[in-house]
Amino acid sequence: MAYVNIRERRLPFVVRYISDLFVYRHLAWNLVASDLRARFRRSKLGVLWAVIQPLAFSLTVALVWGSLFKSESYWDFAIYVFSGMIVWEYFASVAIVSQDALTNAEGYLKQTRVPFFIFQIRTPLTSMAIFLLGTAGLFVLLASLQKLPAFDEHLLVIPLFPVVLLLFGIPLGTIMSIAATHFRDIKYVSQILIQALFFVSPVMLGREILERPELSFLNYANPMVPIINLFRAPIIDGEFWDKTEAITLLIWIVGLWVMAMVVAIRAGRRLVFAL
Amino acid sequence: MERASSSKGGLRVVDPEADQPASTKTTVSRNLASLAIEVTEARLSYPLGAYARGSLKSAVLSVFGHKDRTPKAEFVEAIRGLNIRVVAGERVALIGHNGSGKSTLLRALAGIYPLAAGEIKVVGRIGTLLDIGLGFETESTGRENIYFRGMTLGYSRKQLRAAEKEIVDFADLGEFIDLPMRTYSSGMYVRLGFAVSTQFSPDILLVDEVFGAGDASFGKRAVDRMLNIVNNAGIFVIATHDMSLVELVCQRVLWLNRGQIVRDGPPSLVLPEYHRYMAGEASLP
Repeated sequence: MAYVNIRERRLPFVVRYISDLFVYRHLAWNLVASDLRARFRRSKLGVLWAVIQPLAFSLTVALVWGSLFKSESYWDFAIYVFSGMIVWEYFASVAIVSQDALTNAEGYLKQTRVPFFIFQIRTPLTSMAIFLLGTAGLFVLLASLQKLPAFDEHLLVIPLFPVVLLLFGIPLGTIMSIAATHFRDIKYVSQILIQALFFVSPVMLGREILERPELSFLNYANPMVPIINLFRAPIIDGEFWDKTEAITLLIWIVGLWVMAMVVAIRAGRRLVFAL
Repeated sequence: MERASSSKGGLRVVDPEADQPASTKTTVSRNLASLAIEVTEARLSYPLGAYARGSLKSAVLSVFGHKDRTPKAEFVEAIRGLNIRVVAGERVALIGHNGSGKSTLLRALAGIYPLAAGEIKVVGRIGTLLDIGLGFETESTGRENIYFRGMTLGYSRKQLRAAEKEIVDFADLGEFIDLPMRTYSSGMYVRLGFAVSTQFSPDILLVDEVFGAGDASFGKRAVDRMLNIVNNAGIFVIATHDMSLVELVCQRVLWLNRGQIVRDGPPSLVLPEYHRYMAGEASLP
């Protein structure tokens, strides 16, 4: 069971992953750039849509839910929803769009021996760019409302967050792409699950609701709880990351990476037959 | 025609000369003599389309020990115990019925399809021309896609930049080259795909019947360019139904039937027999 190209160095999985990543970095980068162009090309407002979309949603939700929950102020709640929304959109797009990552790459994968993961990191990277645009939008919103976080050491964790998000998104995208290639039903199942997850994530849901004892398991069972909270902590609450939340997320990330590697190694190149 | 040098080696694979001292590496452009394809007891089977993939239901139930009563996934044995050795300088044609395993074998040689058993050893940088009209970013322009395709083939941005003009000229798409590829006709897809894929001479060239590419004028240029690369490649393997092409280019024919080799020899010996078989005048040898 072997294919050996003598000119290929035989390396352990992880080392090969990293060296392939380096070799194909231009391709990966260009695929992401092309996705972004495709997304905003032919639209008048272009990249601004990355901000307008979640913002419009947040403003609307704040209007209704804010009055429902007697939130302290309209704008505070709008900021709360907007900040949760841009993180959520990253997760949802990685989980959903990645499902087609391999099927869409069929033309490449059946042409040459190009590594699969170049196409599996594509959506996490593209969504990261959208997320960063959204974050920039958040800062503009905060600045215009004069609610920018105080300039202190809490801000140091802000640049760390996109890295953490990427570390979460890449294995997630990998798993989804392989699962959906094997089982076309995943598409439908995941839609339901993701929708359900939305309502138990602190996007619109106030933090205090998730602190109720009967719901507290969600803080661990739903990775979106720590992720969204870690994003908000320094920017909105002016706090460092919560230790428990950071550890919970770390466990999720390690778990996802292990699972992604097991699934990817087990499936191997045989996935090409399912395309 | 000036080609971007492949002596620098691909990004994807390591030069065979890589272990040698730098001085020899610069003087020896390609160590053609060492090129080889060695197929040992290769078997390849793949699931019969979507039906064989299994459903989520059966996968979940099997966790609980539930046995699927519907017949087990059907596999097509596309390659059944092949032993082939191709050495430097050989031009090999794969012939046979549709479904005889020609294209599958090419993909296995390129490392795209994994084997179920056996081994394939390849020494050399592989270039492929399989389904060249596929695998484009339709929202990107033709020019951008030159880079995508080239990078998937393992070439660097620098090499591609150097070759860009020549590729554009050969594809001859006029102003379409700077338009998104969704505006292209299918013939234009093939033109661009062919132009990129044939820009660089690989050590080992694997081709799956592409001569029908584009219109008549392009077809002729394509054949010329193809022959040019074939002459430059260390090993050339083509799956084709075009017997005149086989006679023109190849000195060795592998006749495949149901994933096995029926005959292996020079065209002058294999082709007459093949023609008789195809005409129904003779049974399989």
